[in-house]
Amino acid sequence: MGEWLRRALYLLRHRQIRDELAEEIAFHRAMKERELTGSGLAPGDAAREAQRALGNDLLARDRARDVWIAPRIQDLAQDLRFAARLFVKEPGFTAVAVLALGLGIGVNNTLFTIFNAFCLKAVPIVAPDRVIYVGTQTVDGRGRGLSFPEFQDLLATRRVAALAAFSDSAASVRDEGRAAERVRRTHISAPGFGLIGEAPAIGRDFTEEDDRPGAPPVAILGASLWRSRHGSDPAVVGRTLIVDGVVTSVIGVMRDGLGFPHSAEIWQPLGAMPGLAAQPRHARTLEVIGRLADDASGDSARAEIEAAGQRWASDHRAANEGVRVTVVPINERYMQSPTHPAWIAFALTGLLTVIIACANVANLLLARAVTRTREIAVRTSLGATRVRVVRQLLAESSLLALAGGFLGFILSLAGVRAMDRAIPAAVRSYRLDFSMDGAVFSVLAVVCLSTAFLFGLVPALQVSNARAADALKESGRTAIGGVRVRRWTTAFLVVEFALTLILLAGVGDTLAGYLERRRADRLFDPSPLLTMMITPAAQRYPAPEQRMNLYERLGERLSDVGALSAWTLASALPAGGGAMRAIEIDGAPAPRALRDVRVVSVSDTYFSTLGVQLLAGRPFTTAGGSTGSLNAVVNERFAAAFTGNDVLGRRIRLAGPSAATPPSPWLTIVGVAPGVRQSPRIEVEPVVYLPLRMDPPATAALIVRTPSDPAASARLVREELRALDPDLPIYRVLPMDDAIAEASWNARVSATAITTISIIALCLSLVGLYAVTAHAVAQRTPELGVRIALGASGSRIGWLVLRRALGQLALGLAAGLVCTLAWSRLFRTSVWFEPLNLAGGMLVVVVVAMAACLVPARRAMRVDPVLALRNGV
Amino acid sequence: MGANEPPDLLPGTLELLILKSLVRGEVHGYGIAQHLRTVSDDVLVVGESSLYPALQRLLVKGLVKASWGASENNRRARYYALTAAGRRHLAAERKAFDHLILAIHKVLDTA
Repeated sequence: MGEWLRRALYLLRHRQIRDELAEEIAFHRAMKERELTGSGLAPGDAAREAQRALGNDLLARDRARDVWIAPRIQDLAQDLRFAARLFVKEPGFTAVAVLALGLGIGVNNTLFTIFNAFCLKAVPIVAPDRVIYVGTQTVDGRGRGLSFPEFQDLLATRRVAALAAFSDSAASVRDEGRAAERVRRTHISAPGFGLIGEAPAIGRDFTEEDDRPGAPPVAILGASLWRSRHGSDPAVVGRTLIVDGVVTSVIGVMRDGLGFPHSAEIWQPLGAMPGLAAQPRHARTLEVIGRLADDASGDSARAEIEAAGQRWASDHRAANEGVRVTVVPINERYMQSPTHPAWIAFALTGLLTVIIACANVANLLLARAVTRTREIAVRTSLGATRVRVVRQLLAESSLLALAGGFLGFILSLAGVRAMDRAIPAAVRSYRLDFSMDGAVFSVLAVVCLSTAFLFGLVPALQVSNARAADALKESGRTAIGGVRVRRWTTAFLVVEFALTLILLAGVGDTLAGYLERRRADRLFDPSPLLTMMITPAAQRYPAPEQRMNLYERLGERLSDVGALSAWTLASALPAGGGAMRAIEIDGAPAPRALRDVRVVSVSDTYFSTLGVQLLAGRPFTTAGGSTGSLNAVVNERFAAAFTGNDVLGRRIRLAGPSAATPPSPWLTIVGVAPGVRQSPRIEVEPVVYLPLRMDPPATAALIVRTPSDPAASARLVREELRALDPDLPIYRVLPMDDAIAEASWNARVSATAITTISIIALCLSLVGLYAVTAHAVAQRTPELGVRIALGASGSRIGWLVLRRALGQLALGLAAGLVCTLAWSRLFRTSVWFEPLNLAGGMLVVVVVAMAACLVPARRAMRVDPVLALRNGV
Repeated sequence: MGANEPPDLLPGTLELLILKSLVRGEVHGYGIAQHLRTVSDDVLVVGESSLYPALQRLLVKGLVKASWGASENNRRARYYALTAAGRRHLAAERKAFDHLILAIHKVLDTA
């Protein structure tokens, strides 16, 4: 231990130690001289004799130094110093190389950080590997939770020490006399927080007492709600709130950043959940987690719970028909699967970019290598082994890689922050954490070091191969094996273009879909429209008629408000999705495209409010949906897929939402609307619009046309609604533009991300091809000079230059086609391999490549033959 | 080689000899070389290129410590002294060395 400390101290004081040693040896020599003078030699002779007798001064010092620092490390330090000096002398080259590496490593780090956040980070609770998630699965593969009786049955499980159930819903929260606010609420059973290892930061947790049905209503606030409603007042415990119309007292506040299980803003005991006790066995809405007993393993607990599931299947056959109990570790439930093809493709995209950057820098190094031949030749002739030369060149690559890695890290910080901001708060789970942890840094370090070898090895091997004798001759140009180096250069370029083509194919697909969506969205002008959502409480409005009644009364009040020129209610906003239902057509089988259609129920003013003109027929009347007026409107995509002729007047029927419910009555199609996009993901699909009365939604979207200030309009609507029902908040108040943008945030972010990455890859390829071509022209200047002197025309010269570049390009594109095919097969994104998409991608690459070659080609054409010949041959 | 290296020393022996030279007190580098030459009747002649690396090795291992002082002729010189660890090491190495030499003698003396 002391030895390492001493070695470390040496490093700090090495200059002083070196001087001391020199002084010591000088003293030794002086003493020897004195001794020799004393025994009779003349002073001059004595000095020489002393020198001879004592031996090599420098050798002594070197070997002394070797004792402290291993010679290998001394060599490394020397190599790095030399490399740093070289790079400082060539700022242009260094900047381009470091930038290329920085971009590649930055993209990779950003993508890996995101991958890490979604797929690799464990759920942030205490000991998540000891917590299991219990659910059920139906025969058709849909996952469900458990019902309350089933949860109670499981409480007796011996191998599970603690069991908790929770359920997400929305609640309206208000104070006396204020408008209601809609918050995300989770009902959670009393042991819940203890199970995950959390406790309120202020106040107390739920107890079994609070969980009894009929207990006084209590709630625990989330930190953000506490801040916004109570201004972070620590004396909030004991205050009351009105939650869903019930006076509730606050007993605690959770710590900042907790939203278990997803994005909860307020928690209440499970026992307070309305209708819980009466829940039938097949109403499986509870999510259940359990912490394993100390002596139990996951497998034993699973066996015990599955056995319970078997018992339920035999005891309650009807409720458990085709239903299977599933037990998984909680991480598996809440983390994205890292082996899913989409995620693997995601992570690989980052690697692709790194490889492109490395190929780029490798070519840059190869181009620069020519200027180093003389220096390397001198070294070799002075005795440096090839290994030593290669080591030195690799030290240079490592320095570049470190600099690139550092730049990449900085860039990835910006990239991750952009991604963080792009995810809307409404869909985000509290667990999502984009901070860079150990995994990210390890991967960054590994990638950084690997790139040093990836781009550095081949140039190092090629350069160190220079035949010394040839290099030291006057024209050392031919010393670097021309053909072999050119083959490597071509290989790197091929890699670059091939990988860039893969990325461009991805862009093409994403961009095409994105553009079509935007085109479809332009069918109506969203700017004067304001949207908001309302959800009538299920307890107060259990029946559809009661909801419809509320909507009608709301509609009456809104029509009286002067500031709103139009309003409408719908079960979903444009791009807001909607239910999928199977349909039957009266008198003909349903074509395959219409097997499952999207269904939206809208009020009669829907199309006029949106400002959309029907293409044929008419919209509903106010009586739409009541007997005698069972009408539907379809969109043009539906009409186009409809077999036979005109769709107007035909009758259709919708199947019920589940096998148990009966189908709708027969509806007559009275109108055809333009293809307004309804789905957030897919392009325009067939849509059937029903009158609101036929299916008053549990959550309704309200769209108002407001020529004036949207904030004022929102307030107006709130007031009107409050007059009808004080516990009914409006929420997600957004201009229509933003609502559509938020609905398709996923598509938008993907499009932006892949476009950015592709542009980066394209720029790298451009720079790569430019560097290689420019360098090749510089190499061939004497040859070109001869040709020009012999009468070759400018275009012939240009063609000579371009020919090689085109050859490399062709190889690259061919390889790219193969790679894209492999990628699309591997990751099932077969859309990427469409001819139009690929042709577009290749066209872009060709155009960019030609642009890159333009400057060197023109320079070649302008070569002055006299100068070229003088310098060259 | 030649005049600068003691003939065929077993590895580590030079350090052992240096440590022994320091038993009586502090000595500087030249003094150690002198001592070795004198006591061995000019057989063990140690040059700078062996002596100083050996001294540095001893310093690294913490077996000696060094300090600057005034020499006989009032020049600044670096004096080396044994540390406690050095003393222990000397005793142990001396024993091991004797043991080894004994073994070599036995082999050479057997017919």
